Amino acid sequence: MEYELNFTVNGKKISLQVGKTERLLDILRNRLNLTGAKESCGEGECGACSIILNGKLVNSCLVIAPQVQGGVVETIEGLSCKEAALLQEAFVKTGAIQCGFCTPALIMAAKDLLSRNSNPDKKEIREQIAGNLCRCTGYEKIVLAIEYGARELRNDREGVNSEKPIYLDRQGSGSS
Amino acid sequence: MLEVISPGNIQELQAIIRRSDEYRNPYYLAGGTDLVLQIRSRRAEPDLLVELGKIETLKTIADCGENLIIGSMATFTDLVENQLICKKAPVLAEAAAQCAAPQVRNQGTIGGNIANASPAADLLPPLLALNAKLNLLSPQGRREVPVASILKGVGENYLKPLELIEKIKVPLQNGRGAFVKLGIRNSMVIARISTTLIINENETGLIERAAISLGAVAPTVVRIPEAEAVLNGKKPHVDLLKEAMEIVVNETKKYLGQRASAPYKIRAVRGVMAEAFFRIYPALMEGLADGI
Ligand SMILES: Cc1cc2nc3c(=O)[nH]c(=O)nc-3n(C[C@H](O)[C@H](O)[C@H](O)COP(=O)(O)OP(=O)(O)OC[C@H]3O[C@@H](n4cnc5c(N)ncnc54)[C@H](O)[C@@H]3O)c2cc1C
Ligand code: FES
Ligand code: FES
Repeated sequence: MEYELNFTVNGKKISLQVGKTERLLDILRNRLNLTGAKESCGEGECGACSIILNGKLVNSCLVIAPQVQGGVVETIEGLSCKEAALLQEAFVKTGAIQCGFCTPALIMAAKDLLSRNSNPDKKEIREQIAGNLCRCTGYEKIVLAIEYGARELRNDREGVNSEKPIYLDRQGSGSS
Repeated sequence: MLEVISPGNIQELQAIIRRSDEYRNPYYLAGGTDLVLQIRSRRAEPDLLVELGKIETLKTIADCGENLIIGSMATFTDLVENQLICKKAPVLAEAAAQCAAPQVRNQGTIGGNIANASPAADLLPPLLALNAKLNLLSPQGRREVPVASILKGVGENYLKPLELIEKIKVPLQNGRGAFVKLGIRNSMVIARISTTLIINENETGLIERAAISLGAVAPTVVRIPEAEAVLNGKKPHVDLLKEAMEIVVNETKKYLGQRASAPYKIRAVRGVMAEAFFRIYPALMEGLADGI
């Protein structure tokens, strides 16, 4: 307990005593009980700890307390109900979740992309999730999930009812 | 005891720099993508961390006529997205775009990439080929030096304690350039072999200035002046390009010596050089690639 950290997490101002080189990942998980960000590699390679800091997607295992001072952090727990529901549903419906360990980070990566580009193509999605490893799914379904989630979010914004679900567009790749 | 300071501007930072001799092992903290792991593994044991993220003026990218002036806290993402860099020093944007994955590109900075002095740092080959200079700030004041002059060895630089890389001064690229790196996977690989090739031709079609740099073959990123000299003043021709490539390969052999990875790296150098020449002279290089 040596460093007073003031920052905003999911819209809430927070003041905490933390270690000077304590990682944001540990602050979120151990002190704030926000366990959506996961630790896997701890070295910036896997993306399981992805969160949004000051509007940018970063790996929270590579960020320490002084870098967060006065900053704004968004985690999976802070998604709006609508966003969370639609993106989660997209992942479930496309079969993009197996063990689920990588999912919160992938949804944050998706949110980050969709905040800049509401209608990304497959290539843009692949580039966005290049730093998020998944041991289970093989990525095809994750790309599909983000495509589907993006469409649902656009439709929701425009008040349109979805037509045929995207996860059935490609033969054999959908599960329901 | 570790002390942490986050100066809000350059004046506050200068006050800290003046006190640098009070610390045994002071470090700057930029994006932290190298340093955080070094601290955790105790490869770095700072007694002072000067966090640079609150100094807005270190994040700017400006056009100053002959040069672009890049703040040391510009991230890989800033370089990729900046229109000035994309237009006037495109090899630098190209290299930044091929680094790591979005998360690390959003966090890692150009200043950290240079100071960390990895032989595989991806921004160093383009900066060396562009003849970029560093504006440094230390207790003794400001000085301007070529990027290559601070590279000492693997992970080592010649900066004085708390000497700050404030800005990077990048001459406009003008001619055509190519950044090529060979990695196992596109996103997360720290380059095994990378090269930057820049060719400026004059109005008569002669090569006026060729610049070739290579990463990950020597303890620091290096230029290959012997190959550049062969190209300078000549008319581009397939035999000339082949000759230059062979010189690059021979110089690489000298650097690599008997290292176990040498045979692989020599082939890799041939491959990335052929690709780089192909990108600049597709018509001349047509057909040659098969023989590599
Ligand atoms: C998963 C992963 C993938 C990576 N992939 C790549 C890749 O593809 N290509 C590549 O080149 N690198 C890669 N890196 C390495 C790293 O991201 C880069 O070297 C990055 O540019 C470092 O910048 P930083 O701001 O994070 O530096 P920091 O970690 O903050 O600092 C690094 C060093 O530089 C010093 N320093 C920082 N700024 C200054 C300054 N302004 N003046 C003086 N000294 C300073 C620090 O004290 C420290 O010693 C990767 C790293 C990770 C974790
Ligand atoms: S745990 Fe942070 S990137 Fe793997
Ligand atoms: S679903 Fe298991 S790691 Fe991605």
